[in-house]
Amino acid sequence: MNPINILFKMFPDLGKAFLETFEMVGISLSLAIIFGILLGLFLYITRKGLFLENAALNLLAGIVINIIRSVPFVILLVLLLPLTQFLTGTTIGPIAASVSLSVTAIAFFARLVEAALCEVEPGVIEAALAIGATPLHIIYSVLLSEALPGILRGLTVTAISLIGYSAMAGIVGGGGVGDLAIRFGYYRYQTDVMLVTVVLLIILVQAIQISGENAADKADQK
Amino acid sequence: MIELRNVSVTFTSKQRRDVEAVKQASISINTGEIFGIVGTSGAGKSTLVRTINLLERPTSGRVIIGKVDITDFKGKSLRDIRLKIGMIFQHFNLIHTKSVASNIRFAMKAAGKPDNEIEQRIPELLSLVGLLEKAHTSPAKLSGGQKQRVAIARALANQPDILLCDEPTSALDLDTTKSILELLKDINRRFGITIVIITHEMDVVKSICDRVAVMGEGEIVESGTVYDVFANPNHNLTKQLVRHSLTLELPDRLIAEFKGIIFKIIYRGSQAESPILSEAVALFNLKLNILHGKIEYIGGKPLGLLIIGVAAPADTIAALFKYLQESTYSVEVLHESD
Repeated sequence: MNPINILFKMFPDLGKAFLETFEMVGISLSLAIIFGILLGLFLYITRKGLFLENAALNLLAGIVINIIRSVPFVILLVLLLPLTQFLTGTTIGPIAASVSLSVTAIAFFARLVEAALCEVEPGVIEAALAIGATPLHIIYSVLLSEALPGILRGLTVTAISLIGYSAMAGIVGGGGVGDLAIRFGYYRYQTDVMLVTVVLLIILVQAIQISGENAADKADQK
Repeated sequence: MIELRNVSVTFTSKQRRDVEAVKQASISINTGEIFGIVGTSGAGKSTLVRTINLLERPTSGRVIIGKVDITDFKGKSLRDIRLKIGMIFQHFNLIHTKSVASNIRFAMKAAGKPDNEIEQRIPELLSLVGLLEKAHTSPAKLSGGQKQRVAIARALANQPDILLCDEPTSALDLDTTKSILELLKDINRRFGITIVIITHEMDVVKSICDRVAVMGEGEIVESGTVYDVFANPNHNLTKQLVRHSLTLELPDRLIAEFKGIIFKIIYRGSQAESPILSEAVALFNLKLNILHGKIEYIGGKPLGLLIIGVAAPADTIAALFKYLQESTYSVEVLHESD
């Protein structure tokens, strides 16, 4: 079957799959932005020599994040089933899959945010302190502003990684494009369908990458 | 205006030995003066200047600004003091993701100034430093000298009484350095702002400072007016730093070939302006060669150095030497041929 035929025939399934992927990635990315930035800021601020230096809290947060990131996502999915049940009342479907996706996304993005914050020139922060600004004002107006290009690039990386992780969400019946590719391509040997979905994914990822880079470049040149 | 009393700063570390960056330093800086702190790298100058606005907390000693002991200030009281102390840095430290105008805006917002006052003041400040047309430019597009000007504008935004300058021209070329120093001098004259300037370049001190302190290995080894420190250095470290002003190199060939005696004469103040040599020539009926010389004007006062060669009988030389000793700051025999 040629690609156009496939697209046409599979349209309902592909459409549903893409919507499921967007749902899962959308929810987990949004939560990653809210909690990942907060967590990343927390990791940065509690470092030695900074605003709220606290070695104990810093270590604790770091260890928790490391543990989450050490566990292979497939296993994490299974381990978090009780939590998923508790939060969403089910263990099946895109919403349920979003629970473990969000946990992974928050831990992943927090590290990227921390890295972006560490890249900010210490001298610029020192100058802001010398000016007499409050720590909150400095965090909001200097730290996050200077780290924004790095944070946006980290967000782009996270979004694209999440699309990949969401493929494994098929395991809990989460659906999505990855799951569709596995079902048709692997289980049904319909490699042409799998290839079409891969091409669509490539286009999607490219689009995300390009818009992410543009946003980061714009933040750089304010 | 600024007084540091026996300030010491020690950096403790679990891995290495404690580092005593500043040891018992005491300085007194008068209102409206331009005070320099010089020394080689690692002497502790940057650490010392940072105790003035408590970016570094002294391990011991007191910091007094305008008769108020601020050593233990924290939180809001510290921020309020910092609003009145501007600071500029060697690497400018502008906020890269904000425009020139927004950098200044940040400083004024930190002081809680209302928007209309901010928007009025930004063009004022930018005109003062000559960068009005760059208001909406990003710092990345500016040259080093322009960045430092923006930094100066930002430091002056909240009308500080003091301006701290940490090696402000060390990253700039000679011409740009001159223009920045002129700007600082102009600001000092116009607004009476007390300026403290850290540098390892003696030329910077010579060009705009009124008084200077010399630092070595965390201690202040000498201090005084710039003229006195250059013309009459006491400590070895100071002598090292000012030696360029008080020595002139003669080619070996000249020293080897010259028949007669070579004197090095130093003139201070009005001596440099009076015709001592021509009087000596007339008095002793001499022929003398001027082999090398220069006169520097430090804060408008002359400091002169002359190397002359004379060929004459021994008793004339002796009389000349005595005459020069009486009418100049110092005479020294550099070389005597046989």
